[in-house]
Amino acid sequence: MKKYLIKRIMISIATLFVILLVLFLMMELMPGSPFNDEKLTEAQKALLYAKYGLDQPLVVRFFTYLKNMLTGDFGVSYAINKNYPVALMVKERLWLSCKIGLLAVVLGTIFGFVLGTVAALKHNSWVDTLCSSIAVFGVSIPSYVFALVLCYFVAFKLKLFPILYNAKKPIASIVLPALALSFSPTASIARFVRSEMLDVLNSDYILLVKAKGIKDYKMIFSHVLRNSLIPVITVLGPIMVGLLTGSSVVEKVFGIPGVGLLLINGIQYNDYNVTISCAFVYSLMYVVVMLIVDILYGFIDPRIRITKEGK
Amino acid sequence: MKKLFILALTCMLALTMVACGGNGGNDTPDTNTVKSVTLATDTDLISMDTSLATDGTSFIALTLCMAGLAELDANGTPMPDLATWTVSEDGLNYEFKIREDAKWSNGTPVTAYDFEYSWNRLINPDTAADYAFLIETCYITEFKAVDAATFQVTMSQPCDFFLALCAFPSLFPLNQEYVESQGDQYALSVDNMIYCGPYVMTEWNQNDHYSFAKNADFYNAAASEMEEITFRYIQGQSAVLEYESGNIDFVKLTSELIDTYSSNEGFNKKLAGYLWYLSLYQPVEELANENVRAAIFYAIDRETIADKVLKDGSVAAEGIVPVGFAFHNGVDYRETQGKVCEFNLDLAKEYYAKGAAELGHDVTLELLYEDSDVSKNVAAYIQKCLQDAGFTITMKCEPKKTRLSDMQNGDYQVALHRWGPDYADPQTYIDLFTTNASNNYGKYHSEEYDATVWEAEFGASAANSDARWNLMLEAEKILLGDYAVVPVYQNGETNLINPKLSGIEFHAGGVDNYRHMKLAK
Repeated sequence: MKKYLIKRIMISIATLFVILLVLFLMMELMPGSPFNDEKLTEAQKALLYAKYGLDQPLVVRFFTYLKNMLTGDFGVSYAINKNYPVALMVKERLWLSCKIGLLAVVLGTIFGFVLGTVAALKHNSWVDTLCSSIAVFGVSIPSYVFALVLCYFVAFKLKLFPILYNAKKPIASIVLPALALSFSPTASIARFVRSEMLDVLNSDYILLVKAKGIKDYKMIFSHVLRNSLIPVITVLGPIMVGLLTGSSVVEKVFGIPGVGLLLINGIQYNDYNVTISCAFVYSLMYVVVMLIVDILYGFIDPRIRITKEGK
Repeated sequence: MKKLFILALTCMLALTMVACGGNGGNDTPDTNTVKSVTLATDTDLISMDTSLATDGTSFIALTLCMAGLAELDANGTPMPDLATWTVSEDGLNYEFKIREDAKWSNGTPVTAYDFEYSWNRLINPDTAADYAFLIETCYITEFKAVDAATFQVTMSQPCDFFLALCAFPSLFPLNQEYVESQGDQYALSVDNMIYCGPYVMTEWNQNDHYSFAKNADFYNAAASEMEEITFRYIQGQSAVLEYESGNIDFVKLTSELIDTYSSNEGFNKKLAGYLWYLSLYQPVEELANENVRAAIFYAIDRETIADKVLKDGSVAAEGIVPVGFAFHNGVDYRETQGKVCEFNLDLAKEYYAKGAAELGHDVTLELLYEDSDVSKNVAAYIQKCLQDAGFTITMKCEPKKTRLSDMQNGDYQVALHRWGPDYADPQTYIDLFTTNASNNYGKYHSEEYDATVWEAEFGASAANSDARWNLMLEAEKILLGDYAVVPVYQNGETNLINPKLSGIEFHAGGVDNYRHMKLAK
């Protein structure tokens, strides 16, 4: 197990290094420059390049960047917020993006479980059809459509929540974006729970439980749900990463100052440090979550742990 | 039993909803009192460093919390702000007397040395400021603080627009001691700033909002009624919903929303000083041909572009100098010059035929434009216009910075380009096309044009305001007579402004002034 752990961690670090290198090369190949302004003269541009060390060869810049990054220095912004440290920019926004992503995962998991459980218990009835239809809608309609619908009806018409992100109402402001984002995980989890639960309900040990005369709710909570839960936890990891990194469109609709918007701005303004940092932070989150999921997988499912230990 | 279970789950769900919505119930929007106003901005604040700021949003913010030698009044005329001035008879020497009651927010007085330091910082190559050229453009040969209260500026030529530029943030004063004590951190957040204007910045939450509170120590605090000003960085349909809900008092409309809101009480159109034109790269064989350029010039249906494609208050360009932008003795440049650009499809076809015959082949050109919705729509219509005249037009869409890069490298044929003026004088446009100008992307070369512009700026006529103005008029005629560039439209802006809000002063040739806003109850 220890060996396996070390191997996985080493692979993750190598992956991150390659990602950073690719990002750097892509910035290099990107046409234009952050200092392409009709009002700057050639001499001024040369000065700016020198000032920010962009006149150095690519290799030198890459290793300088790598070295600074390990000390938490992600460089400064060239265009979005002149000379402001990018590490701070990302830090300020990251927590907000994470909060919304996490809330969406929590809401999605709860709704998904409810829908999936109800559908499985009422298998082949109209309730099942309804729940399954909701799940299909959730998967097929993009989150920004939900975002716009919520924005118009819940925020503008019913005035229950702020229409756009408002820093003075930080909690109320993230509810609608999180709801909009939670539709897709709700749908995937519901479908997953439903099929897992049907499997469990048809298994021999549930038959035994029923035969023993254990009450329905106790059977569902102690036996059915618990056994359906394990596979669901393994899909939560990728879903969470997807939400944390894929919410830029919803951020745009609700005007949320999150990492997604920052990344888009960085690309539009050719703000190299911002673009690299945001893309890298996303990659880092992805790699770390996948690592944790991989490791947890062994712990959660005793069968996997036992098989591995057996080897 | 199953029913009970479902009931329990439903209750759980309801509880979750309530828990999440707990903060939402009593979240009714704050009602605006007369003393506070919230405005939407569609671009984020980029820099609060007067030397480094380059965009309109930052300039508006700087004009609120900083002040200069002069301030533009509602008509765009420079009026004394932190200083009063006397001008020598030949117009070459300005002496500014700094007000005794002008103070920094840390209580120290604003002195002539603060201006000297700021201007030196602006032109210092290490600062690499975009606007470093302003000092030279005003023919300033020397500026110095004679004593704490006296600031002297000497020029090699009289400069008609110098005083208006004194209201431009790049020339505002800086407190040397404070700026240097903050080092790299100066003006990066509200903790690293010092103010000398009617407001102080209280919050700067990047990508979200920034706010100002009234500076009671400002000498002219009485002229600013608003106690609190907040700008929120929000845009598009949801920003307009915020306006409709009464949460904000000002929002810019994007073109697709204009029809929907054109009957709204707060609907407001204004002209900006930006001019969009087609830059023609003359080293290309086809564009070296004057008939081909003339065909492009006459083929563009500018009225339709402004009224049908854009609909945002933009107007058809009449020349390379915008309308309502530069005035001489109170008369608009465009009024004196009249309309130089004309749409005439028959003439365009005629010129095209002549040009194609001279070249010996049909003309295919590539149109370069940027990837904004507005530019895409305009470019598509320009393509249609040019194809009506006989051209074959291929399209090339790029992000703005890449487009500029291609233009600077001469890697284009026809490009839809924009110039934002720096001061309210035709010179800011006329200067762009002299042979050696760095913005002369199309490599236009005319000795007559160069000589006319030189005469206006440095020759015997430079000191004579009337003669200089006439030469500026003459220069535009030469430029467009050669079909060197093809003006298309002058930018308009459409806003929804709370009808109770007044006092925002828009300046086509300068920074919009938000110091004197009033919001009726």
